[in-house]
This record gives sequence, structure tokens and C-alpha cells, in this order.
Amino acid sequence: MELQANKAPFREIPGGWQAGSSKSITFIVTKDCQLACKYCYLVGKNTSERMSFDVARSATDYILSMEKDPLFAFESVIWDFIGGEPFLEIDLIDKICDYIKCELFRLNHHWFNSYRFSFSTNGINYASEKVQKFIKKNLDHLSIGITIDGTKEKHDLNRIYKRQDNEQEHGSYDDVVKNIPLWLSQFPDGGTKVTISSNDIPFIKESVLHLYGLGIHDVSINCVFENVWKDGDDQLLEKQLIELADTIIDNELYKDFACSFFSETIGKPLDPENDNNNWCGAGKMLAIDAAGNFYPCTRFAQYSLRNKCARIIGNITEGINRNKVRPFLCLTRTDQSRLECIECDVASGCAWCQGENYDSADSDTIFQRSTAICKMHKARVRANNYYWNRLYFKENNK
Amino acid sequence: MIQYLIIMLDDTSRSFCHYPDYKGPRNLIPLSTLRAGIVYAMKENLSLQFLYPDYQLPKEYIKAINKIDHIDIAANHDADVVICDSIPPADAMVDKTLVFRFTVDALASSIDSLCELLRTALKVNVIITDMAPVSESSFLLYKNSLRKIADAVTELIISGKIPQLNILTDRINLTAMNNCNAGWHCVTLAPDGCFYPCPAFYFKRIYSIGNLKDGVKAPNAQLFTLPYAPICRKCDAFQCKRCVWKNYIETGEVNIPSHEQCVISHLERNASVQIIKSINSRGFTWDVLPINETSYLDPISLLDVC
Repeated sequence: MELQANKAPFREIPGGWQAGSSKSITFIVTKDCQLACKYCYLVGKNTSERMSFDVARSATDYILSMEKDPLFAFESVIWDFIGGEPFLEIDLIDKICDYIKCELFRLNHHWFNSYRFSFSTNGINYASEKVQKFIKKNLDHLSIGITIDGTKEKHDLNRIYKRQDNEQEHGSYDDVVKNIPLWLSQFPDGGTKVTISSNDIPFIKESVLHLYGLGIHDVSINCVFENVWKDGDDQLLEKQLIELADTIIDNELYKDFACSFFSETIGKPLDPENDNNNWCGAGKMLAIDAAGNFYPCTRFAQYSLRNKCARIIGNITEGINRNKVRPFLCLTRTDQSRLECIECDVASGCAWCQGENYDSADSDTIFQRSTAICKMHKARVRANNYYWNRLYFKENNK
Repeated sequence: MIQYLIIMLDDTSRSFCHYPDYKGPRNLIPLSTLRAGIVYAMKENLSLQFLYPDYQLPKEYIKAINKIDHIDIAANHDADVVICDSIPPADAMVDKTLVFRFTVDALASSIDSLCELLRTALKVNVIITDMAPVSESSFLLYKNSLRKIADAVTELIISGKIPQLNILTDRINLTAMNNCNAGWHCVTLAPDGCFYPCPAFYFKRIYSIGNLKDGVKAPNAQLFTLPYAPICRKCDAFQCKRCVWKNYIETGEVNIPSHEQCVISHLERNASVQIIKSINSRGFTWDVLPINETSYLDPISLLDVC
């Protein structure tokens, strides 16, 4: 007897709101953050580049004026606010959101009532009066994710406060975890995003279980795309994930909780023609920074890049430079992958970040896929196969 | 596979392509670099092309150059490929290969004299220098210019003379893409002793792809090739320059053409279609492969993207 997908007795990570039919527009409202996470890819964080309302308004005016343009012809829109830490700019965000709502109504725009305001926050300011007022005002149109990496030990390993030269390292776990109950009361299906770097691997199992214990049902988790992996990290990851799989299955946690490391769709070969989409929506998304420049996604802004110049695709004055967008629209999996990746037997689910590809490429191109994550993906696939074989056997032999 | 090596003899070597002439001071390639470049080409079996400045080279340079088969590209009527600053008398250009660098406006005002040259020259190459950004009115002007030149070409063919004009007859004669191929079939040795995909990259000092000591080692060299150009590999504007320099400047990638490059090439392609149709409609037969009419001017529309 085989399990039917539509009768799956296990929880799955839900797709995003209006996934595939929404335009994602990101305001980089600040490049500042209270934290200095060790794995953060934002190499150019600073306190000076804060978006003004005038820039946000001009960007909004331009975007809404493009309603009929193919680049903006999406059923819905997600207005994403990021930093740094976006809630450091809650007054500005509140003003921008009010302006967006008013303009959508005034223009009778088709995005009116088909929009979301989306945030990924470190959670430190979550319970503040201003943030809570904003949440209550916009609750029906909000998606908020709080990043908490797992146990206190795991979280504080990387997610530490900014400090002066002589200051001792100080983790942020305690200031975040206290806000989790309030967050889950407002967003019961709220998920968190966990990032794994080399030093975090030994803590994966206990961290996922800890997050489940906090009441977070969906844990999205990924290995960083940068080339940080040491010899043996793949075996350590596999071991951690198999231990996690055993605990989830033995305790039947899979019925109510999900972890993105385990997915039925990963670890299969991909057809070069029919499974040839780019991994992410870079170029179909639009990011705006404090200077009013447009980017294909935030990862192409200068503060995200270690080695390369920013890829600016327009600005609030001149609009989008369509020629600069063309490469992103043309990107396919095979056009940026080596033959080894194209012919890989476990290719499905092997992710990449387009910005990291660009930043680590041997030339100024987005057409070279970084493969730093290869051995970690293969380890994940082995553990994933183990998970599903055990789960199917258990369910089929009840 | 690299087949051609262009040696820029000076920073002020004349442009024969889309990039502008360099207006800075002279910087003659060191004689030792020139000699090493020639030896490199011999060892790698590369055909040599020399790109000349407007001034007379020292004798020892001429001597070194003349020790090997090569093509001279210069703004000089004795060159193998003549870069023309103005339109010369047709009678003086019998069997010559000529390069004209025109803006769209300049081409429009030079049509009659250009057509005269088609009677005598071996080949006329027209390079449009203001390719992007191009306004709709410029596209229309170029389209009209092509139509007028196509009419003249048609008359020449019917009279028995088959002229060669890159922007109109190349598409008729080609059965596959035949583009600039810089970085793929052709590389440039600059006065600094480094290789570049073409002279334009040298002027910006970007995208050096090796040097005489280590040879040509282009990172991501595959991106210069047609199979890695997602739009171009689906396109049949075979005569398109597919200028990797303009690609890089306009789109940020050497393998992705700008909208303007695509439209200009398709206006040329469509004018080529009209030549064949005109000849056929007048009862003449010309043994060439038919070219399908298309509904688009930018082949990005062939891809499933917005």
C-alpha cells in the first residue's frame, strides 16, 4: 500500500501567500541592525543608509503607474520590508504602508485588497508599542516571520549583538524567545527560518526540536550558500538529520510539525528541458534601496556583495532599465550550471542564491552557479531518503 | 576555439566596430610584445589581423608584421579592410572591403553614395554606432533607410551584380549564425600585453582574458559561445553582429543582447526578406534559401518570460 499525497498524514511547509502569482517588491528601509550575526551575508551594513519617505513614495508611485506593464502584471503584490532590521524603521514603514493603501484605493488598482506586507525580523522589537500598533492596524494583510535559530546555545552562537571592541559577545536569544508567544498568538501559523553554517551542525537536531517545543510548527532551514564548508561537514549534517528523522518519526511529530530539510520532492534527477526553471525570482522581484536604486533582489545591492559591484536595474527617476533585466528573465538552470549539475542524479532541491552565484563567479556574470553547497545537499538527500523510507514503512505497517 | 588574433598596434588604432575611437594619447605596442604576439599566433595557428593607428609605424614594426600572413585593418585605402571616415569615390574602391561606422542619422543621409559603392566594392560593412538607447523614431528611420538600400540592392542583383552589404545580403547568404564571435573565435592582444575579447574591453580595462605568458584563459569562456546565449541561440537573424561588448555594457552580460540590438538586427533581417520577395515578384529566380517572416522584432519573445 502506498500513501496518497492528498491523504498525507504529515504536515508540509505551506507555500507562500499567492506563490507564483504575486509580485514581490522589497523596500530596503535600513541597512542597520541591532545584531551582527556571524553568518550574515550583509557585508555593508551601516547606520547611515536609511530610506526617506520621499524615496519610498516615488518608488510606490512608479510601481503603481506600471500596472499594465508585463513586469508588474501579477494578480497580487507582496510589499516586503527588510533591513538590516526593518522594525528599526517602524514609523517610516507605517507611513509607507498607509500611503500604499491610500494609493491603491485612489487609483482603483487591481492590487487593492490583494496585497500583503511582509517582514522578516530578528524579533527583538516585536513587542514594542509601535510595532504592536502597526500589527493590529494591518493584521489581515501581514506576514511576519521571526528568526530564531533553535536552542539558546545554537542561536547565540551566531546571532549576537553588535559590540564595541572590548565588549563581550552577547547573544540575542533571551530577547527574542520572550516574544515568541505573542507572535504565535497573532500568527499561529508563523514559521521561522533557520540558517546553518559550519559551526551550527552539531546543534541542528536539538534546535529543530526546541523550536517545535516553542510551538513553531514550520521550520524552514537551509545551509548557507557561501563557501564555508569544511571537510566532514557533510557527514556531520547527515548524522544530525538522521537523528532528527528518528526522533520526529518515533514521536510522530511529523503529523503536526514540518521541517524543510525533509521533502518528498528532493534528490531526484531533473530533466534539462522540462525542469529548467531558475531557482529564485531574481529579476521578477524588485528591490529598492535608500538611494532610490532598483535591484533584481536585495542580494544584488552593494551591501550584500563581497566581491562584485552592485547590479542596478534602474531607479525611481528613470524607471526600470529593461536591458538590465533581460539576463535575469532569461536565466535557466542549465544555462548557469556545469554539466556535473545538469546530469546530477539528485539535482532536485539543490538550491542556489542568484546573488551568491554572481558574487562568487569567476567573472562579472550571473550565469555561473556556485556549487559550494554540493556536498551538503547530497548529505541532506541521503538523510531525506532515510526519513521517507522510515516514515512510509511505519505508516504502511500500522 | 580561438581562430583569429587581432593585434592593436596602438591605443589610437582606429575602431572598426561599435566602440568609439580612442581620443587619448598615442601608446604604441612595445616591439617585443608585437613580436611575441606574432609568435603566439604562429604557435596557436591563429590568423592575424593588425589594427593600425593613423600615423606611420616605425620601420622595424612594419618589418615584423610583414614576416607573416595577415590582414591589415586601417583607415588607409591600401589596407585589406579599409575603415572609411567618409564615403570615397566608387571607382577608387574596386574590390575593396570597406567598413563604415554610421549613426542611424548619418546612414540615412549617405544612402545614395553608399549604394554607388555597392557596384564596385567587394564588400561593404556598415556598423551602427548609436545602437542603444535607440528611440522609436530612430528605429523607423533605420527601417526606412534599409528599405531604400534594399531597393538598390534588388536592382543590382537583377542587373546581374550581386553586391555584398553585411546588413542586407549576409542574412541571405548565411545558413547559421555568423557573428562577431569575440572571446570565442577571436581575441585581441592590446598594447599592454594582455588579451581581451575585443579592443573595446581593453579601453575599459575590464575582462582581461590572459596574457602572452600564460595564454588565453577566459573565465566563463563558454558565455561567449552561441549555445550559452539563451536569446541568440533561438534567433535566425544570422547576420547580427551579436556584439559582446554592447551586450556587456547594455545588459551586464556578454551573452545577452540588448533590446535595441535585437530590433536593429531584425529590421535588417526583414529587409533581407523583402529583397528576396521583390526579386521573386519580378519573375527572377535567385538560388537562395527562403527566410520566414516573423511576427516579432525581439526574439526574447520566443522565450517563456515576461
